[in-house]
Amino acid sequence: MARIRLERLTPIITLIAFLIIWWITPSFLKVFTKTTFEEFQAPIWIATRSIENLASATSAKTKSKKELINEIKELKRNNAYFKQIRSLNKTHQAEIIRLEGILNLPSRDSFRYELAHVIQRDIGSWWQNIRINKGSKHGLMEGDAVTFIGGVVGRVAKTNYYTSLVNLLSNQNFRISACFAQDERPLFYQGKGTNLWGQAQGYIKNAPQDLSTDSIKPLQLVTTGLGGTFPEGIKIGFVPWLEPDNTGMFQAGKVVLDKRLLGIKEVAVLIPYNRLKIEEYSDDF
Amino acid sequence: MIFDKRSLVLFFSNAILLHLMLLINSGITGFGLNLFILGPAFIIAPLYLRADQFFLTTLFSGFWIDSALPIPFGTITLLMLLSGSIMHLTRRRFRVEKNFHPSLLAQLINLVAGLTLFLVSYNCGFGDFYTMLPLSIFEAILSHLILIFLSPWFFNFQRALFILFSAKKDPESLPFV
Repeated sequence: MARIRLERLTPIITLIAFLIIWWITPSFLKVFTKTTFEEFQAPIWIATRSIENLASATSAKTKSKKELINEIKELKRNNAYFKQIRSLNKTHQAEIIRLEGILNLPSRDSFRYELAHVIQRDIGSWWQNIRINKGSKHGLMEGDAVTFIGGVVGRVAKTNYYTSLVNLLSNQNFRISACFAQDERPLFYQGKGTNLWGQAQGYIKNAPQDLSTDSIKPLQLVTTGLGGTFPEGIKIGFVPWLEPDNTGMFQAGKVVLDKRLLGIKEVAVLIPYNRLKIEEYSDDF
Repeated sequence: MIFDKRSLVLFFSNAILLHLMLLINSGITGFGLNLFILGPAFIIAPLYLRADQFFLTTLFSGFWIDSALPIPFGTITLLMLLSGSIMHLTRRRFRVEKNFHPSLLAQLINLVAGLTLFLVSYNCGFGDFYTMLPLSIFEAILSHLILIFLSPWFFNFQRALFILFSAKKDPESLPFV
């Protein structure tokens, strides 16, 4: 009778043993392992970002003097323009502080802005996320609002020490209270991924029936400030079409999001001052 | 257990493949596409290494991939271990010194892994089924077309690393360890 070679079953026995161990392992150990691996990967992504910067700086060196002079001229114009806006903002800020002082109003500055670079993008049919190079070390926490020049980007879904994962506005898990630019009635916004042509999109529900829109002059959708994560009036997108929803009482429609959202490079994370104060107090106790 | 330095070589080459894939995906976001080309990372370890070394390499590679992708932790690890164990048992049937069989296996496993990730993403509520399906099919076709060229390059790269690090370049004692 032929001998049974048990060695040949080693991979299967090991696999079964691993499955049993994996099944009984507490979830905190799994989370710890995942976080450890993520922290090991963070420097790689930051290094990749630095290499990209170096490459773009090297490619800039190949430009001719004429091109550089033109770019400097353009930058000077922008610089002068932004200096004017800055001085105007300072005047407005001083006026706001003066009025707040007279009227004994609480400060309107609820957030501080933490600028971050996008180091990785996972945008496709399965996922709608980006990773940024700021994490819990910089005061970011899960749920913080993320914005860019074109409006809302998304919400921080997970923070590591040096990096954070952000759920994009087009992510199916992203929901927010929104309203139209000149209409304060709140409605419901949810992400809807990308369509076949690679455009990020979302949809709204509970829009009032008296509103109408068209593709030539679409209604602008903005944040309401309800919930406290996002300040009021930040752009979400445009709604070119509204139709009655399945209840018949409200309207629903698709939201066209900013095209720059998919190629986004820099973002600002809004960190609430109140939370920082709570943390400071908790340290005192 | 005698440590086989090919384990380290394979782990790092798998990490490079993952990093390349994520870099490509980061670069093509303007098209709203997400390629999945990790099939070749599943192949060489079970076909070349002893059972214990294969297990360790696959475990660490799987954890590395799982922590980089927004999926439930352990999905890719379990898939790699399962497919690797089957390949390890049947490895005498494959000609691993050539690229044809490993490339075919890479295509097959990439398809299975892609399908698993699609179902996992759908169950996690990452997208609407009817929106996801046509785009996922298009992405899968594109990924497999790229794999036709990528797999042979990746396997040759791994074999070249074996030679570079003066490691054993032939598979472990076939048919069974």
